[in-house]
Amino acid sequence: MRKNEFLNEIRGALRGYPRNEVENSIEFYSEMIEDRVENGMSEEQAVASLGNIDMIIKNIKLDMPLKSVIRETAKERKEERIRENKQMSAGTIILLILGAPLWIPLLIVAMSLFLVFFILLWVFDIVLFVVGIALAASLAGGVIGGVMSFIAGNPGTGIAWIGAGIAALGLAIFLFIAGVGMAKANLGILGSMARGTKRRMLGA
Amino acid sequence: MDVQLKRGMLDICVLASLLQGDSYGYMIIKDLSPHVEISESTLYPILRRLEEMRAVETYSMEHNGRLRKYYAITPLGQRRIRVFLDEWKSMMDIYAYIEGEMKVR
Repeated sequence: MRKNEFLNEIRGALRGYPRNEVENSIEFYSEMIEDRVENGMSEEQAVASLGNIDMIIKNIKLDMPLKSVIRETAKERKEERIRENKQMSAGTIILLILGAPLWIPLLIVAMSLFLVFFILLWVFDIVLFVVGIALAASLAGGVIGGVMSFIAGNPGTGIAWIGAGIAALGLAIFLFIAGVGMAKANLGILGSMARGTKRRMLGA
Repeated sequence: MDVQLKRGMLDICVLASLLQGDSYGYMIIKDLSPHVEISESTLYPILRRLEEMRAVETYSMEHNGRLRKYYAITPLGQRRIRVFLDEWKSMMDIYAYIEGEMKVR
């Protein structure tokens, strides 16, 4: 296969995906081929050495945003069905309608479970931050209380006030660190869920 | 090898290949291929990801009448290599312990 054929095939397979992402990958593979040609390969050899084109396309898709993968895969499946004339039969449609009292509640349950999972994932993290902010804010209270105690002529109480404020700030810093760590872990979980979904949709 | 583990490992390999100087796609593959198995279709997502997390920076330079994209490691990327080495240091200590226990048995 020639370089242009190869790139056009990739471009064609990725129609509908975010344009700049597609062009980025085209540029990358185009540069790869040109560098190989410069190194003494023929254009055909260079293209062949990149490996199976379907694998390449699949790999590019795996890196696209989850939303576009779902949209485009659904579109492809639909076109496939139309092409192969595999429209839903009347029986299937009747079954779907009759089954609605069953599958609609099931669908709602599944969606709610997912929502609950999402909320649980973040709720603890949010609590960490909120408590952290409250504790950090109490530093101001400690300082004000301390200054007022000094003015009132109670330096001992004043130092205690300020000390309590600083201790609260220290605790707040710990909570922030924990919160950031947890947010990262959550994003990791969501990221691998998205990757798993894409993998399954693309059959990779 | 575990997929997740291999992904992380390749990320670091690509970063390491930039330590001696900026490089471009084909050169990275050539530099890495004696050490790890890496193809274009695996390198591309890795470079993209590294760029997204600002572990590398890119710039284009003209070469033989066309543009070539160069990759440069950032301080953040260098820190990721150090973290990787530290993590593996403790992994290797555990490995040595397990291996030692096996020998005693």
